Amino acid sequence: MTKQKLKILIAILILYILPHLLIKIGNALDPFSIDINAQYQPPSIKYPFGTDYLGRNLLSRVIYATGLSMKISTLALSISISISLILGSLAGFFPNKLPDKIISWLSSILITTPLILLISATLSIFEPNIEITYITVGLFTWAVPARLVKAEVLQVKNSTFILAEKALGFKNHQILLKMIPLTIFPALTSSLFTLPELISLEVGLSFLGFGSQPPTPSLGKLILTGIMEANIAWWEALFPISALALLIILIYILARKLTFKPG
Amino acid sequence: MRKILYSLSLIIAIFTFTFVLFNLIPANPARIILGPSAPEDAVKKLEKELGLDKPKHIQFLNEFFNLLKLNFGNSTISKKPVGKQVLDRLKNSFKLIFFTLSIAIAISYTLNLIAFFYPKLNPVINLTQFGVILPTFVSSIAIATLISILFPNISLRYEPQNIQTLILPALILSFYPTAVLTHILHNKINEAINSDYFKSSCALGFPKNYLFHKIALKSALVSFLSAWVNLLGIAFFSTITIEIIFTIPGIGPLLVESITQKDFPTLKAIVLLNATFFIIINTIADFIYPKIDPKLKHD
Repeated sequence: MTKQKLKILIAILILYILPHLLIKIGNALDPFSIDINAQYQPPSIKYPFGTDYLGRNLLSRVIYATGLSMKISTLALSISISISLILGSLAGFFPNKLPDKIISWLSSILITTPLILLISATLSIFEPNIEITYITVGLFTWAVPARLVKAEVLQVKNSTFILAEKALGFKNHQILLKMIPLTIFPALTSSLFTLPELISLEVGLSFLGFGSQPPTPSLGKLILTGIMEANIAWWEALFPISALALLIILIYILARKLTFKPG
Repeated sequence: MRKILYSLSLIIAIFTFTFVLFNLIPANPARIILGPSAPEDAVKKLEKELGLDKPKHIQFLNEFFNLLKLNFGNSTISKKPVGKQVLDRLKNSFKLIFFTLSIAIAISYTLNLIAFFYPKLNPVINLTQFGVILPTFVSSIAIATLISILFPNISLRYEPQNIQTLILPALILSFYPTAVLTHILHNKINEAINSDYFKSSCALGFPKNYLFHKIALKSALVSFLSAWVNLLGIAFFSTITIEIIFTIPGIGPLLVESITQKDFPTLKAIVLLNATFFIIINTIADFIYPKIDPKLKHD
């Protein structure tokens, strides 16, 4: 396996292990214990990020919430990549025939309509739940990666060795199965760039009330209460939003390092 | 003509989606609205009210014909017609979005104009690509947080008669769109500058004003317009959150309310009207592109 592909696999491993690590660390520092006497403490040695309105340690809540957001987003990303790989390859393999027309039509709807409406409408019929959240997000965000996969498949399909396989008499589904490992790595790297959008989608959903419920901390709820109470407790607003921004910048740097730079 | 039919099919698909979502789920919608502990006859009464006891295809046709008459039903909470309420809120939200994106156009145009006439400033414009890293949602709430920390006494209330109170939210929201539009315009104008026709026009002695507006901008216009239409949909999400923070009476608070109170007719109307609006804007843009760049015409 080339060094490039190895780097991508390591990055994906990091993306799956890091959330669990963050949640473990957050749990160890006890994000749930309520201490009314310690309400609204500014940052100090004992509470490095301060406390919130119930006296809970904000540092552990922020770490736990970041890990949770990342976990939900990476799980949604896996579902979204799987669906987009299958549908994109199908659409690219039979361009302008029936599968392509249906898949392009569906992806047009998903790209023009703001996804937040469709996702929040779907989540409103269920009780707020973490599993339902990431499954729904994954089910609606496959449209943009599918277009990239379709373009990639179209390109590979016209290359000589595929034509040679067809001439040798391989059936369509055998060629399709062989093509998937070739197209998977470009799709993975480009979908790494959509991870920040998925994270902000998840944080926005918990802003609106979906996803994890209190007392489980979630970045959206932390940011919402932080902004509303910013005039009495500036630390409640600053630390969650910095954690979110830091997370996204780190993922962007990771994705940039993995992109193949020609020349 | 075919494009219009295609867009209509998209709208009908969204309508079918909301119908399936809110009427065809295995669980009883009336039971979901009233909660698991409501008495049986209250659930039956609500069912009859919402017309859920008729067969499914009759429900579908009823809703479709109601839609054509622009009747969206009554909200289960306030019992008032939903259409008018959602349209009022939509007006406010779109006022904010269009204000934001106009600021973005104005700033990106000005920055590129300055960079064209004073080429020494080009590296500064390249810095705008750092504004594109954070998604629009994150940058808008980051700036809103900074403002509420640094200026805790700013009044965040929106008054409909006082349009100036919309300036602050619009400025916050326009950070990401401005960065994207400036970046795209800058790239496309540089492409145009390095092309042969531009160099020959320069050599022929046209004034710099004409060079910028008639030649460089025209080549960039299609990508600019398409990015602008995309940003409309992207900025919608952060507009919802900013409306919640700044208590602007737009779609955001209505969405949250109807979700917590399980007001399905309002939710249906919100999804349908918003999706229709965005599809219409995309279709209009699709008609405009061939007019600007005749290379894009295909029969």
